Amino acid sequence: MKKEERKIAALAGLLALVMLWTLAPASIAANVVGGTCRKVGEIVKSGDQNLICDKFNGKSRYYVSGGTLKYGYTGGGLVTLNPNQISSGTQKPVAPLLYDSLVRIDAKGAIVPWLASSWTSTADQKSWTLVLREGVKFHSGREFTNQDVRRNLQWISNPANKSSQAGEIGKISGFSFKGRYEVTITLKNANSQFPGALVFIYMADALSLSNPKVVNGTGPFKLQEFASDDHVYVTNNRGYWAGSSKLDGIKIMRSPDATSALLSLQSGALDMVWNIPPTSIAQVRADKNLGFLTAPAFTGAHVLMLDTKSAPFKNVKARQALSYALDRETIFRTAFGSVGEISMTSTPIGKKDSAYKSGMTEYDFNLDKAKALFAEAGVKSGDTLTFWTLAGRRFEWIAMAQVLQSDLKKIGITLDIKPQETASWLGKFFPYSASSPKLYPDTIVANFLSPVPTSAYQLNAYTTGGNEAKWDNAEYDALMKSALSASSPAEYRAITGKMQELYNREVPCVIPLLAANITAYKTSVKGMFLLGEGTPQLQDAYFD
Amino acid sequence: MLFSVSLLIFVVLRLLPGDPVSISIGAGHRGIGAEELDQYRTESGLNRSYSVQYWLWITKILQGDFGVSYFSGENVLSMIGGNLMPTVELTFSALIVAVIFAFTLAIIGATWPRSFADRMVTAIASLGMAIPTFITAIILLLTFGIWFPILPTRGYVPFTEDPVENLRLIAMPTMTLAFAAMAPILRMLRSSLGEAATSPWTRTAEGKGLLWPKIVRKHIFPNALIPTLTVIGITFGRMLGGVVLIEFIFAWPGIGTLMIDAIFKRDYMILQAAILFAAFATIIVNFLVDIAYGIVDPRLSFKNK
Repeated sequence: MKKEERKIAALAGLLALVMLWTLAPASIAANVVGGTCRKVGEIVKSGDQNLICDKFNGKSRYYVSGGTLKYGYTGGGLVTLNPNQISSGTQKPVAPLLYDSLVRIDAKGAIVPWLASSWTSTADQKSWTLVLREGVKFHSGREFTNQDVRRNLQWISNPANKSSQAGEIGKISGFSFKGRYEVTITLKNANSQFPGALVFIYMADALSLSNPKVVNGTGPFKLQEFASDDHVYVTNNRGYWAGSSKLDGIKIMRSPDATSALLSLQSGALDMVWNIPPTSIAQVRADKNLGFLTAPAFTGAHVLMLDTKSAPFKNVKARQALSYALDRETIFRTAFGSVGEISMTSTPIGKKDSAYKSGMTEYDFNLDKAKALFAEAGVKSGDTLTFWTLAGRRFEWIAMAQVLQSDLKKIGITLDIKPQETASWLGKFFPYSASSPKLYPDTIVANFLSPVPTSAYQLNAYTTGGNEAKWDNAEYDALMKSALSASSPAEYRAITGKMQELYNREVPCVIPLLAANITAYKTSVKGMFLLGEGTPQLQDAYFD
Repeated sequence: MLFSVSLLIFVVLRLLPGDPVSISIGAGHRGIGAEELDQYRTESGLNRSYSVQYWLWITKILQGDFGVSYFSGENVLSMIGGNLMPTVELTFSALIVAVIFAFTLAIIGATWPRSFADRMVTAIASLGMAIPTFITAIILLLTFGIWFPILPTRGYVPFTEDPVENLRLIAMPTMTLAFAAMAPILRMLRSSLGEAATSPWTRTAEGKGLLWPKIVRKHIFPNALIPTLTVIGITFGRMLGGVVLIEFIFAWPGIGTLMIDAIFKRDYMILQAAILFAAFATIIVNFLVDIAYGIVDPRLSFKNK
């Protein structure tokens, strides 16, 4: 090679090296993964985007950085990460970040396959066969199999574990397996809605269930740090079977006071806040950089629980009277910031639900009717009722009580509003006991019920033993049993329609509206959605 | 003293309605009735007689075992230990800021009595007494978090991890707590300084030809400090109560937040241990104040008794 040629070759080589060097980050960005790095978590700039160093499969590489979402929750209750021991609504949005369920509810409110890719049942609705996805791995690297389904369901069913989800799946009489990815669950009682029961049942590694300090799920994020009822930091699970998140991680942080949490959202210290009071919704609406999540159909119910075993509400006329005395429109507007869905029929199923029964009695605001019905039930002018509610939380209930107080005053009934701290509020009506029931005469108890967001579970909450109003209606219970053994959706709708008519007539609990806990967010955050009962789903969140 | 406190908190907590079992299970928990709750209470030892429960608790404490949380199952001592540093940091920084500002303003007021500056000092002290701490907190959050966003609005980072961020995060909670704590110290010191400055022994000192700075240092200040030290001791005790609200607003993970959660959840073990700790801290601070009396005024020293 001549000297000139060698020079050109050297120059070309140098040029190629320079090109490689400058193009390398771009190619990393285009392919998402590439270029080895040393310090995990370190963010470097490349062109107009950031790259983050992260470790997956033992190798540290650069990934396109999607930023870290800062999610705040008001109140408290995030004391454990065991996904099958949920004692507070605060835990609900965290569980699907670290763990997967067998089925899931999508953004439209439909039940869709998740770790179970398909399911079938026997004609008697007692045996359910689930086919599981293959190749799903726990964060530890171990493969998820049908034995994990058994372990989790058995753990939940064991009364010693006090699992809140035990009531959702009912009693299981046995399991059978085919290979590693198919499991048949045999139930003691028929349940045509069994897939819905699995929405909040998460698949954790057996060790995670027995040791609260171990978190090993199959979810889109891995645990980085947890301080009980203070914060949970999770990082991207790069090997997530359904495609890894665009975010680097999520910081779930407690902001106990709702007012300062909202100020933190406005200042940028937080990107989202869960459970802000409806009374603050105007503040969110006034800020063009903020929004709040709404559900395609609301399934959480603000209920006015009435003691159906003591006067005056043991008389159905008193319960109907209260239904007529509620100015739902005003309450919806002033106390709930017009977020949710008014329930004119006082029933727990919303109009958008396919199981909703139309043509039922609508309890329009009518004080004359209320007065007449109250009188028939023995509540006369000059009598006093008590409104039992929470202090320092649920300000919307106090606002609702004040509207009701002013209206009842017009018909001569005094409403004494008594806000209580949680334990005292709970002590009035909980626990349910058939043998020695807790009576609370002349009292209206405000409560929020958020069962699994499907019609079967919303209706099941009012069967005997399931509600602290102590309503025990044999016809309703029998219909529930029939609905759970229905062989077709049409049959199911017909039976649940009858249940709603019965509820509408009997009003064991007066339901002014269906709503969800409100989640406010910065409009730059996209991809999340809300379940009907108020749990934000952050798994697919990203920054615009 | 600590024994009395332990007995009092144990009894008072049991008199409150509800218990950790009913709160942790909660309403709407299908299939859980009174019988099941009683079973859980038996498993947790809550169905034993109060005297047995108290005896077991106190004997375990003497062995260094403060028990575990009914909710998280975590060791109470390690929970308190984890939340202790943020509270100590916040309380002491607020106390130091309060004392510095109170002393500076009181001296300004006493140096120019009945002047505009003195009236401003009185106004500041009155405002500090009158404005509730949560209002001060919201005003600061709006000012430095929203309108002039120079300080973070929430959270905590240990000093050892990131000193700059720690100082930025502690600024607003400290200002809020210090503003309320400063007022009584300022009022007491200002009036004590005024009283001492017009006392006969100050006039004697002036008559002897002593220079004013020396009179202030040797005579006025030590005399004015005695009642002020008492107020500082009392203020510290009140701050332990006030810090609960501040921690709640600024999401500061301290003992206050831990205690307020424990109250709502009836997490007896945490609450009992935290109150015992607060009582112990108050005793220590009062003891330190007693020692300080002797340093400021040798006549009050233990050696002279």
